[in-house]
Amino acid sequence: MLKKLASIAMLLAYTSAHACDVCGASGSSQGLGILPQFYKHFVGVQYQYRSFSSEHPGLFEYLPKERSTEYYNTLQLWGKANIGSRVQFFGFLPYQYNNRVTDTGTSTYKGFGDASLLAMATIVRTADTSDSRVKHVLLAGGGIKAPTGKRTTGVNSGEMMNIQTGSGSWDFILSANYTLRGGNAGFNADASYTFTTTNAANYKYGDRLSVSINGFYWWKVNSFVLQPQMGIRADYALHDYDNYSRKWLNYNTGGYLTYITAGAQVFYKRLGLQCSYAIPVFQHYSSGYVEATQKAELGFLYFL
Amino acid sequence: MKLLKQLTVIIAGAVAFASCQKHDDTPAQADKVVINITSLQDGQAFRKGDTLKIQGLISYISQLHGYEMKLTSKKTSKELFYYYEHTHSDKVSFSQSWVDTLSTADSLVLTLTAEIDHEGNQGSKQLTLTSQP
Repeated sequence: MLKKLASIAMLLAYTSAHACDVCGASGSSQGLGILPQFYKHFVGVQYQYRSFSSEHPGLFEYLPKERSTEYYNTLQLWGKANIGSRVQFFGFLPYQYNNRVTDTGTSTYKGFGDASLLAMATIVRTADTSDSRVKHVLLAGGGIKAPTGKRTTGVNSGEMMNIQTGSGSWDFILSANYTLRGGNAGFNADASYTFTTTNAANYKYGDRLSVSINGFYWWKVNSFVLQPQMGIRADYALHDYDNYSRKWLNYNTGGYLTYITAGAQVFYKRLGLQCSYAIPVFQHYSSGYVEATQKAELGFLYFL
Repeated sequence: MKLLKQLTVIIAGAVAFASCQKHDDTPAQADKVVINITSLQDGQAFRKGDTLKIQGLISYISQLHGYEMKLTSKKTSKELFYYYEHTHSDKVSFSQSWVDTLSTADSLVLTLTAEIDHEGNQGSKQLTLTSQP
C-alpha cells in the first residue's frame, strides 16, 4: 500500500500535458427573457458571471483525477430595434474573460466572443387599444451566430474546448418568447434551440435547447417601475463531436442544467436596470464530471 | 420540486430521443495501435550525460485518448522518467527527452502505452536500452 501511495506521489511530480475535454460548459444559449415593450428600441450592457466545478477521470486508472474550477465572465453589448410594427431585431456582441483554475495554475481565455443576430416576428399581440385586462404577446423567429470569437484549433491542440471565447462555427438559432400580463402580474416563457455546425478543426459543439419560465409582478411608483421576477431555466446540450466527419462523439460533454432564478427589473424614464441570480437545482453535465455552482447577471438598458 | 425534476427529465429525454447522435462504433482493437519510435532503436547504448530523445508517432484506426511513456531501470525497478499526455486524435506525435545520469551500468526499459478509451483498452511498445557509465 505504501509503495502504491509513493508511486502515486511520484507521478504527481512528473510532467504531463492534457487537453481537458470535460472541464466547464460550452457557451450558454442566448435567451431574451422578459422584454420591456414600452419603447421600440433599446441598447444595453449586460454582465454575466457563471462558475463550474470540474473533475476529469485520470487517463490511466492509477493517475489522479484532474480537478479544476471554471469562471466565465461575459460583458455583452446588446440591443433591440423594431423594423415596422411586426419585426424586431436583436443583436449581441459579447466580450469574455474566462479562467480555469487548477492546483498548478490558472489558464485565462479572453477576447470577443461570437456575435449573434436574431430577427423576431410578432405572431400574436393584444392590440394597445384593447380593453381586455389580460394582454399577451408572442414573438417567434430565428437568427445566426457568427464565429467572431477568438479560439485555438481542435481538441488535439492541448487547449480546453469549453472555455474558449469563440466556438469557431456558424450556428443557427430558433427562438420563441411569450408574455402574458393580467393586471400587475404576468408570466413569460422563453425558448431557444441552437443548431450548431462544425468549425475549421472539425469540432462540433452539441446543439443546445434552453427553456425558461418566469412569473413577475410590477408596481409603478411615480416615474419608477419595479418588477421582481422568479422562475426556472433549463439548458440541455447534446454531446460534442471531437471530429464530426469521423463521428467521434465525446460522451463526456453535454447534459442538462436546471436553475431556479430570482431577479428584478427597475425602470426609470428611459433607463432600465436588470439583475438576477440563479442556483442549479438539478443537473447532469459532462457525465456528472462538471457541476454548475452559480450564475448571476447585471444589466443596464437605455430606451431610444 | 418533484414536478420540476420530472419536467427536466422529460425534456432531456425527449430531446435525446429526437436527436439520437451518430457515433463511431469501431470496437477497441489493441493490436491496431501502431507505435513508431523513430529516434531510438532496441538495444541502443548510452553513456552518462547523453540525452535520450524519445520521438515518434502513435497511430490508430479511431480516436486515441492519450498516451504515457515510462523509462525504468531493470536493476532497481525504479522509474527514471515518466510523462503522460491526454489528447484526442488518431495520430499523436510525441517528443520528450531524458538525460542519462546513471553512474553504474544498467539495462533500461522504455514503455510507451497508448490509451484507446477510458475503459482500459490500450496498446503498447517496449524498447530495451543500455546505459554505460
